[in-house]
Amino acid sequence: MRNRRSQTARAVIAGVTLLAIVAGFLAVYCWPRAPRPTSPAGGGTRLAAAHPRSAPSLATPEAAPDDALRGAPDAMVYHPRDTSEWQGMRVNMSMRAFCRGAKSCGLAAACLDGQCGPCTSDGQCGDGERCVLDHCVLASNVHCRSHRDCSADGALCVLSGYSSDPRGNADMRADCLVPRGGKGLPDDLPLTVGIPAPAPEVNSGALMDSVRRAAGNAEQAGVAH
Amino acid sequence: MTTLDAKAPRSAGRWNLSPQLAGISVLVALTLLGFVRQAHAFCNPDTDPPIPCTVNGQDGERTCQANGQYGPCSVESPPPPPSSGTVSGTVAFYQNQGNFCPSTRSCTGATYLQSQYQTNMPIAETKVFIRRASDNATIGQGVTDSTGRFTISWTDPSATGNIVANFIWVGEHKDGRFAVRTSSGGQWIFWTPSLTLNNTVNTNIGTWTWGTAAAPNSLANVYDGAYHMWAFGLSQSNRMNAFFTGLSIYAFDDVCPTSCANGPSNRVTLDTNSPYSPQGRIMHEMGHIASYKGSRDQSFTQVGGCEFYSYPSTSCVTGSGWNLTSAEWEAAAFEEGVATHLGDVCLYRAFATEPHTCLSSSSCGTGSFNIESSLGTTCGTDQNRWPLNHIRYHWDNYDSISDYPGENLSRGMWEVVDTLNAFEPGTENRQKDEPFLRVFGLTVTDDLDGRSPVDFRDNWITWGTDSSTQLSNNCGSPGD
Repeated sequence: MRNRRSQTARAVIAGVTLLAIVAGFLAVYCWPRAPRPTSPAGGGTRLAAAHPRSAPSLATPEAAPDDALRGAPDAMVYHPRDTSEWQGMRVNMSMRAFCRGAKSCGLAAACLDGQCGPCTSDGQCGDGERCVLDHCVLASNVHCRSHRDCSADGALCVLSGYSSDPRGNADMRADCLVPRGGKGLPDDLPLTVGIPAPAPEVNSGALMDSVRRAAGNAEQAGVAH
Repeated sequence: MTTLDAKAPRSAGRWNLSPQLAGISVLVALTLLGFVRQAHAFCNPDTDPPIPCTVNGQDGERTCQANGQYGPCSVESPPPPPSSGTVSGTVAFYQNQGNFCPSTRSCTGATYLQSQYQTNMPIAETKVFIRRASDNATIGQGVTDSTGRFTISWTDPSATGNIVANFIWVGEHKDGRFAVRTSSGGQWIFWTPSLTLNNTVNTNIGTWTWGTAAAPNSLANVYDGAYHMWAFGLSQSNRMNAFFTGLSIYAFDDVCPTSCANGPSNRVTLDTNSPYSPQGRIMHEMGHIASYKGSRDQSFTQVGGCEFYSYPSTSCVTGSGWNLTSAEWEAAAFEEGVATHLGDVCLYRAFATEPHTCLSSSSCGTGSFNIESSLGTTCGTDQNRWPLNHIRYHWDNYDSISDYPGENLSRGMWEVVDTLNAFEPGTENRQKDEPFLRVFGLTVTDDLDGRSPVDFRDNWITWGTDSSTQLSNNCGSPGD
């Protein structure tokens, strides 16, 4: 049986097929590619880091002007504590710093949902710290957590106070305290040496005026001399 | 079927291709085209979703770009950490308080010297904060040490680089023992101008001083007076460590023209003339609070009625007051003596040779009044009602210097508050509310000489210490 396709049709089909093959070859192997960025070790592309500007030179220390004082009728809210416990060092809830990380707060506070505040459990404090009376205290310095840990005779579990390290608890202790007796100041108590303050500026014009007035007053002639 | 026959000679001009072979070729071509699409990521940015990928073991994705091609494999980067760091520095104030020990006298045992007066002294042991300049949000908190130095860590979650902030302090003792408040109980804020804090490192902001010789800062001076009272005096007592906390110092209000203390409210109110006379004002008033906190159950009925200051009248004489050498009913003289003594203790150690007490914005004049002196056992009329002589009685129990035969007590200041605690509750003799009587729930004045130095001495005897010699050598007391 003779093939009924015309020679033209055959040619078209063959041409299209050949063209498709060639096009496919070219697309796969010869098409221009988008440049690939170089991936740094350990990760893919990253956002450019924010490079800090050079810090400006520190302003000359100066006294804050008197008008910097503001009497703000802010309501100070302190975290409540069982009244049977020591009532010292209650946490001010109206001034709470932001934080990031268990030990990022000062005043021995816990970092709770991004804000410093009173702890309620050891897990809210950092490694090696325990929660005592709303504060994170180094475990080695905890000798009580409640008045119930102390002897009778009205003893309370008290905190010794904030220390001046950034965390605020390097020297802080939790100890039982019987509210009787005391401890005197050390014999060699050092007294702070004051720094001489700058003398007040002299208004030379006003000074001369006062001298002239005194020179004209018989009673004050001695002063003028 | 026509097939390609490699061996058959081809007719010139003619090239035969079978349909099957053509179909296969088209299929291959289409398949290659599909791979092309995949390899060169031809895509529609509006409709084609990202393609998962991996780079260096980390999962990422390739997103269709505007040019119709998929971009490179992109791994999601963690956000940069928020700004944080530390800030350090020192805070100070211009010291303008009186009651220093003058260089013209022996200052052995004195804790506040003329060499410190009118110099820049540290703002010691106070709470300090860092506030974001844009909205005053608190981003750091800490305390100063006894030299006024601090190092605070801070965090600003809204920033990733350097920030602008203010340093502030608020007049509150680091451990909450006391706080200087406004006349309505609000919070004072002492601040610096805005400062740039460097991300991830420490920023030293230097020394900031409040007040000058031309314009001393009254509030900073009050804070220091209160700090001195606590650090050099009251903190020695376990009872005060347990119960003296949260005191509010209202500054300034002339509702009490010469300042006053309210134990139940745990409040001191300072008059406008008070800031530079600490011994007779902030220290004395804190002494009243200490007396209140020292008493049994940390309370007693304070003697404040006008009649107690109206001796010899038994009823109120309008305008009555008191001073160190005024004769008063013993209930008032004793309480004023205790409060003054507790302030004196913070200014002079037990081995001081010339301790003085007075109301002054400078120094006490020599002899006005030397609390080491004793008038002896024979005194003028009503000198046994002078608060000054009761102060000298307490001093002789405390000091380590003997100036008459039998003066051999040298007791810690805590024994004053512990002995006050020894007074039993009640209104009977030797009890803490002896000046009063309770009738059908009302409290009325009953014994104007109740709660006197005699009661103090006798309660102390119960606890094992007899100070009769000290009392009699300071004119004694008409109380019973």
